[in-house]
Amino acid sequence: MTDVVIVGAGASGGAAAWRLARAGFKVTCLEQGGWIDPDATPSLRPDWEIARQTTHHPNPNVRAAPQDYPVDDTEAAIKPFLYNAVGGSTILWGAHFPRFRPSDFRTKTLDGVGDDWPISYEDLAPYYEENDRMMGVSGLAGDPGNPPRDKRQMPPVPMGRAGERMAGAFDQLGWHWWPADVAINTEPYGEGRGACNNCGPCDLGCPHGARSATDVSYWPQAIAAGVQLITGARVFEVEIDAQGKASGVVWYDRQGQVQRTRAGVVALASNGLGTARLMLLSTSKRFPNGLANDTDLVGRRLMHHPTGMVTGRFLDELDGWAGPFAVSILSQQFYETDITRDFVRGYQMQLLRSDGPVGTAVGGYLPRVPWGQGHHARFRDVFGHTASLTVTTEDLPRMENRVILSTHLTDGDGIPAPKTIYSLDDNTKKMIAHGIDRATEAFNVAGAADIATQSLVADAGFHLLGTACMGSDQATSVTDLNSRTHSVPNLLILDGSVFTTAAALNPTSTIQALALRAADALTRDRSNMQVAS
Amino acid sequence: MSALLNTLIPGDADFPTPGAVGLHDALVMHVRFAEPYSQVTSLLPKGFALLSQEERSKVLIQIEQKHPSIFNRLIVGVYSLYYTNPKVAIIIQRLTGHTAHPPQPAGHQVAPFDPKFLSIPAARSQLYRSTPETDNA
Repeated sequence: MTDVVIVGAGASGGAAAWRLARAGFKVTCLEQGGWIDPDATPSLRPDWEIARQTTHHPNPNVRAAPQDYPVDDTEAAIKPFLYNAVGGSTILWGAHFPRFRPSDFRTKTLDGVGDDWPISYEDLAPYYEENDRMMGVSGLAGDPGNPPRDKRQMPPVPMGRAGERMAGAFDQLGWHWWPADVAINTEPYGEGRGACNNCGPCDLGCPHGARSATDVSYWPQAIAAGVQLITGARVFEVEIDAQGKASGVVWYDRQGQVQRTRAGVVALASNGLGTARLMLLSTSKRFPNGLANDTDLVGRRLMHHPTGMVTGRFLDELDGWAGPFAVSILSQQFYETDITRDFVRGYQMQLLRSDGPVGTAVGGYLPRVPWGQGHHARFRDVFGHTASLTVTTEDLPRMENRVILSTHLTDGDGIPAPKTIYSLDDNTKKMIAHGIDRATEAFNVAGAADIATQSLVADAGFHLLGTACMGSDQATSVTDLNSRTHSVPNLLILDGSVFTTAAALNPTSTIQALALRAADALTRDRSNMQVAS
Repeated sequence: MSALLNTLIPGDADFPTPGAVGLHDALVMHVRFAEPYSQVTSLLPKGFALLSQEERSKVLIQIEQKHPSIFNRLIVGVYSLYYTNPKVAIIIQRLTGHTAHPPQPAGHQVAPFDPKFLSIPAARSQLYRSTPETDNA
């Protein structure tokens, strides 16, 4: 028997495990993946770009590792990206680390769309600060686009030639820009973690521990605080007692044997896809449609961040392969609602560097280099000569965008896989179109020789949000303001599933701040906590 | 099989053809790329190698249109193995400066962030909207 069992050792699971163990809870964490050896990163090998296309691809359907579960994405405009390991998807992320803006928590009040969160930016601000200290953030305070915050732990990552050029273009246009807040060490920071050497492919892992992930930030300290972390543990059911309280979880070990962990509190931290899947799998007489799913909201309101892409090709070399690939500078000039536009809410433009030779040839930011005559001429034109701006939009919740259980796909243990059903609404399409026009304008001012655009990047489902949303009304939400489910008092949802709305920003710092806050609420309520009999 | 691969990447004055760097052997031995290579090869008409480059391209365009998924997987495999071939990597290094070595452990040299660039953006006024809570904070 443990006080708290956490399912998932990723961004939120690691943060909450550390916080709860330090508060005196006996914590067990179950993770279906294993530990990633930093010295085994493909970026130390000549075939590193092949790994990106195969064994380290962010799409679990392409990667198809034993610890992965498949995802039926045949009805989804955006393909889910995730990773299963200690560290979760922070193992392959780009480490962008923005905070939500105050208005992101008040879309209903300010803009009449979505729903207001039951908490505010101010409620989360101290947890953002604490989480920044744990993860380690490079950047600069003083951004006029965001509320004041503490001095960042380290100075910003290098802008690179493309960053300098685009910053100049933004200045000419009179637009906001600022160096991105990123969870990458520009100086040694944390226990045994070195500084970034600008190798480029952060998504393949970092042998220096410079790019933060919870396996090198939270987990060493969580384990030192007494957390028991069990890897190779694939949870397939949350059990409840006769009173409908969570009593523990059932899981397969690496040998395929069924194991059971009893707990006073069950906390789900398996991302907006995995958590919804587990709740839908956990049916009972009390919850025939899935755990804590009286309102049929579990799995619904799935949100990503629909992303358009604009890539400029310059005649001079930009050396875009050098430096953390996903982070440099960003512009939030068009982030807030402007009533003169034909859409509500807004978007962020984020500068990406460029790819290695394989990534350039196969395509991604740019269309694929065509095969046949002229292949190498085109390769020479684009390789090392491009930079890209993402147009990352707000994604408002819609009931029809959802996670359900697949009727035909299963994982290696025979557990039904999740299926995502997802499409874009007209407001989002207008946002992307506006953003593509603005990013094109910026590249023209910067002197790009030619410009390519993508109206939607399908391979961009990094952010899995909203499928067990937080709210103050039990009829229209799954959890309360402390991430505790309304109908199962000792069941917590710690990951991005609880997002009421998605904002237009990378969510990890907000996910972790919410997890820390949920852990503190549990600690405060410990003496009154209802647990299984 | 060089005819197929050399049609996809013809080579030029700087770059060798796939046939010249042993790409056939690399493809047939690769755990993920051997299958699409075999599948596309099986779709080639007899005498494909005897056709002109232009005629071979027409054949491949037809296969790409009829079997887009298989063909796409082959292209990913061919490009991946070609551009990670050491002989090709050395040429890219000579032409562009991109190192032929893996990105780690040496990394790359990039000028550190220079605060001088912030003189204009730092002078801007508040860009985020207030809420009742921010007004009271």
